[in-house]
Amino acid sequence: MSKRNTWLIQVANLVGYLTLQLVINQAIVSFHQAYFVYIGFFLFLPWTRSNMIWQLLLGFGVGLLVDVFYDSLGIHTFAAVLILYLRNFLLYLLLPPGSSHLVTIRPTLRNMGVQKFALYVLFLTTLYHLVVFTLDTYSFHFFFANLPQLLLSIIVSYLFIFLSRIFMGAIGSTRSK
Amino acid sequence: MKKLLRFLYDYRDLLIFLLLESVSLSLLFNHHVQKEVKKLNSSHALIGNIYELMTDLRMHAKWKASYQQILVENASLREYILQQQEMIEKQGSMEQPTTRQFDVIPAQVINNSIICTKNYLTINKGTNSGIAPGMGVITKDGVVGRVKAVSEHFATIISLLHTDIHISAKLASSGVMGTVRWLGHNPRQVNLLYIPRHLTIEVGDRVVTSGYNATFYDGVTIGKVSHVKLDKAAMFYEILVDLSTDLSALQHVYVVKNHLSREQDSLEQITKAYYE
Repeated sequence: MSKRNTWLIQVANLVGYLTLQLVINQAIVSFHQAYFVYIGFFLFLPWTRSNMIWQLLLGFGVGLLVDVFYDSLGIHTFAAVLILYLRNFLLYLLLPPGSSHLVTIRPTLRNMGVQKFALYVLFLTTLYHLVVFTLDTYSFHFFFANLPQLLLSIIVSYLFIFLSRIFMGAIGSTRSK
Repeated sequence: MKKLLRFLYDYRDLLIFLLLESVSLSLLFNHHVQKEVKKLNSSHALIGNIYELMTDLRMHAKWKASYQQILVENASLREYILQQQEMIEKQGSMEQPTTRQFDVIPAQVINNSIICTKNYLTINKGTNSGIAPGMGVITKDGVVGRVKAVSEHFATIISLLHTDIHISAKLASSGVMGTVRWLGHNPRQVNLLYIPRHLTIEVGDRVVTSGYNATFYDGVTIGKVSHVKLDKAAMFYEILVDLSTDLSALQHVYVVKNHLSREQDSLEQITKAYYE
């Protein structure tokens, strides 16, 4: 895959995920639930050890954009940069040793295997929702009152991200045939 | 020096990470920074347009129901006007000539949230239609919130479901004044604060706006008292109010424009300044 192609695919990914995010949150209007599906974009970014700074800056930019949409300046920016940073270590643990510094890896279902992939997505999705909820309420009273909703949000987002990845994987494999 | 540069280079990822996180936290918590970047909110034209497009798509299905709702509302308003006219005719020449004080600007809600503890709405009218920050927002059922920021075609509204918004209210039956504030979790209930303990409060009393500030006029419904509690040592009642407006299903709202708000505010300011 050429470098230019990768760029185009990532931009399309970003637009796709942001649209999905807006559509889901506009379609499912129910009490106290927020589904942050767009983080799928961060989770499936191609990963190299050496381009950490660009990833963080990208996370900052996209987080800020989402914040502007939700009138929550700072919350998503913080959470996005955080999961992009921690993703680095998580991938280091989960991906096979010996993958060199310069090789680009896409953390997808096919590259990681079901078990590791599920764990990877679950960890980062949970972390993201936890951080956003805590920053939004910044008090533990609200936190416990909202715990069931938080769990539901995490589960729904998790399912959507997982399905979106399978869907995109299917498109990718038909294109390469 | 060389060592320092080396150190910075080795830890560049961590340093950039910490820098970006502190910038986001200052966006969130530092009010000074918030003032500087005030323009970054959903009343921005581009974001407003995206939300409007999505609302149009979503509303297409609901269009008919919405049309019906408007017809019904229109009818009831006409009825109200007629009643008023009748009353005026009955009073005859007693009617004093007064300046028309309140204007109502209809608008459509294009973005709404009830999921946070600080919720905002976006509507599709802005400075072009005469909307300015500080105006009250209502529906036919009751209070919705207050305008926070305006662009040319859009406006952001602080929802009643925002833990920092306080609305001056009173009990319709007795006229006792208090303050309405949201608790932060149940989007159907708000608190009515500062009702002193010597009064008797009954469940089911209507709570309305007091009209003591320039945002709303007197008597806009907020909700009904649903729960009253009085601790032995407390100075004030703990009162829960069921909201009359379903803030999760807003489609059309009215922005209340008070022509005399500046006059009222400045007079009150002058009086205050004189006596303090």
